[in-house]
Amino acid sequence: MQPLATVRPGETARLGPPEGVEADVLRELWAMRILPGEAVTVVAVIGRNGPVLVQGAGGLFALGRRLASQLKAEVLAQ
Amino acid sequence: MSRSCHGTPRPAPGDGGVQIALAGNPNVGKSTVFNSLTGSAVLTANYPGTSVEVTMATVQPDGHRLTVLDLPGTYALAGRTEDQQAARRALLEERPDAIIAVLDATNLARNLYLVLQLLDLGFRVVVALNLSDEAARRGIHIDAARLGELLGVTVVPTIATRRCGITEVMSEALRLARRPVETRHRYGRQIEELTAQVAGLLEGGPFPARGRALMLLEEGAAPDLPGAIAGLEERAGAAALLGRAAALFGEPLPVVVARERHALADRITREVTLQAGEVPRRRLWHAATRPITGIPLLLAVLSGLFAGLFWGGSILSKVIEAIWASAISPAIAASLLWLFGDGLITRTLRWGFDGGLLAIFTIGIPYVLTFYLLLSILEDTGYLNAAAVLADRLLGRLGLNGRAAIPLVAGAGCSVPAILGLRVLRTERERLIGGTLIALTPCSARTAVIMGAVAYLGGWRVAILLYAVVAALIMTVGWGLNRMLPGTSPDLLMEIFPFRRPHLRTVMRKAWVRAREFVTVAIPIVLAGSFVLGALYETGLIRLAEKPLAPVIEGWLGLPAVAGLTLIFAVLRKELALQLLVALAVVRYGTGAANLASFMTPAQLFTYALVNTLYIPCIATMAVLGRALGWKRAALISAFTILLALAVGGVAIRVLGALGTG
Repeated sequence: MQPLATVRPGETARLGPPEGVEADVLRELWAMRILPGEAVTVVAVIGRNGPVLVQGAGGLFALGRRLASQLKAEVLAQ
Repeated sequence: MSRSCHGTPRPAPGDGGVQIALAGNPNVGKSTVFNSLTGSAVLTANYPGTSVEVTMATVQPDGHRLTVLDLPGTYALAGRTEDQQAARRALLEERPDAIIAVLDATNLARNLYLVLQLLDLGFRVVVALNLSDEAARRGIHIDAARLGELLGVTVVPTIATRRCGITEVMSEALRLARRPVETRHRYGRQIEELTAQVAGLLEGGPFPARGRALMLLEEGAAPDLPGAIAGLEERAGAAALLGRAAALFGEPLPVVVARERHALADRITREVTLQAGEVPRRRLWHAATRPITGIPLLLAVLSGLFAGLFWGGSILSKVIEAIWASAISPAIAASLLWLFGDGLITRTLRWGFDGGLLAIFTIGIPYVLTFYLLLSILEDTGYLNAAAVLADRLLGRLGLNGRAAIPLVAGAGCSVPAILGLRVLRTERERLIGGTLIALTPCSARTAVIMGAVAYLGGWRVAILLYAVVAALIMTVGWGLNRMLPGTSPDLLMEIFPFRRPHLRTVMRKAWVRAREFVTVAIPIVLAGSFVLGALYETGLIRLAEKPLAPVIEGWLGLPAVAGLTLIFAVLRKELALQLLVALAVVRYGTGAANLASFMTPAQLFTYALVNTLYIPCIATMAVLGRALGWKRAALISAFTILLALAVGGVAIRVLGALGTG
């Protein structure tokens, strides 16, 4: 598992349990379908230390860099 | 059921006062559906504990009273932003007779999550399958009838921007409002068994036991829902059961429920999707968010916005001013003369009814309406989201995230709606920082003073210098607050929507509703303030304030005494400062003083505009700041802006003097 923030654009990763994310943010993430076990593709990373754009089954979302670092993910084979 | 695009909704016989709520994810066209349903009779209401205004309207189709609530967009009922809390409380506490769930047909599965949650809680739901045209363009075809069968609700495909399907949705909601509800869908066996066990521990309550049990599973031991989970003993009993269940599932129960609901939404979507369509390409999005192309585009958009504001606004302003001067002002003067004769009362009343209203119509309507028109276009295209993503890193240094970009940009039009827009921010900390920065951001009224006092006399370079000084101060204050305030601000979490072509009617209506809100807030304050100011001016009492202000105004800021008075009274309306400065100067120095340069140096004009820009935005802004952040914080922000304005103004006049521009 690695921080989602370190997954490179174009790579798809399966999300694992988050670390240190506040409960209210987690509930919103889950409703957006960004939850453990789901696969997401990193579409873009905006600049250095900017937000990470991820495409999941629930849609395309922008995650701040710190939040993307708190979400753990395992890169899937292409 | 007919499929026409026009007509008036017809309530079922016997319906009396019916309350219908519109619920849905953000950006699914909910407000457009609301506008189509209700026309222009719109009110707003605050929900206790939040600064969020829930829009509502009462309509009377065929004489039956019907209240429609337009709830803030939310992905689920468990969200914790003020917006989401307001939607949750409106639904759970008001318990509307029926809910129109507005869904994005291009992203059905994700949108169904909220619908399933509403159905779990036993709400009567009608589904408006909106953006059907966009779905069709992308080759997505959904069997609405089959979707309705699976959910046990009526599903109506709608195109809200063209009013297609709206009549049917409303008719169905009215028909549904008195009928019993049957929850048809079910999750996996294990979770349903657990839900049934928890439900068995709960007493009767306002919502079905299954729905309340699911909510308990989703929200853990503390769902802040009065009456939904009956009795502390039952909650304690449930807590032990939940502990065992979490161990059995091997992960937190809220995740289990979320996964089950998404899985069911997926299964339903697969069954009703006749054709899946194409995933939209996002080339434009990439261009708009990649710094190398996105930053020049952002600068171009902002330049276009302000150029449009000044050209469009000034043209409208001149037209209104000409009409006012030729027809309305003489009529007001004649009426007041006829009623009260020539004297103090007439002159005082003219400050409000003539000068005050003119200021609203020449600033409020032209600049604020034009700004909102341009802002609504940007919003409707989805570009503001791209700007938020692009600005996230910069705003992160100020203790905010990209979501704050939208209210901060709105602050350049008018601070009042910008502060109301702070509700999109998740924490008090962010709202406090955002509120302070908006208070310092030059709104259109302050811009009018900058343009009149500085740009007109010193040229656009001086105006840009002043804006640069203000921008640097805003950045410094944000950075400082981020360092000083305890805690950290949450990161950006935002859905990215594809760019869409703006719809003229929607854009114009949105702009008008916002501008009307500004006028509604501003008119009573401006009228009252203008009468008071007029009375002080006409009686000469205004001069009494000159002496106590002298050490600060003349001594520290190096401005003429009359300027101090205008700065005090400009708290009513910022643009008033300049008008009053000229008026007082003419009285003091003679008619030649109508030209500001005749009695103020360029350095004094610069300092005057700078101080006017930075100190307390205006009384209307203070009022909304108080409502959004509490009166103590509003007073603190106001005091801070006064001290900052005085400090910066004093430094500016000395630096400019040393540079030989005094």
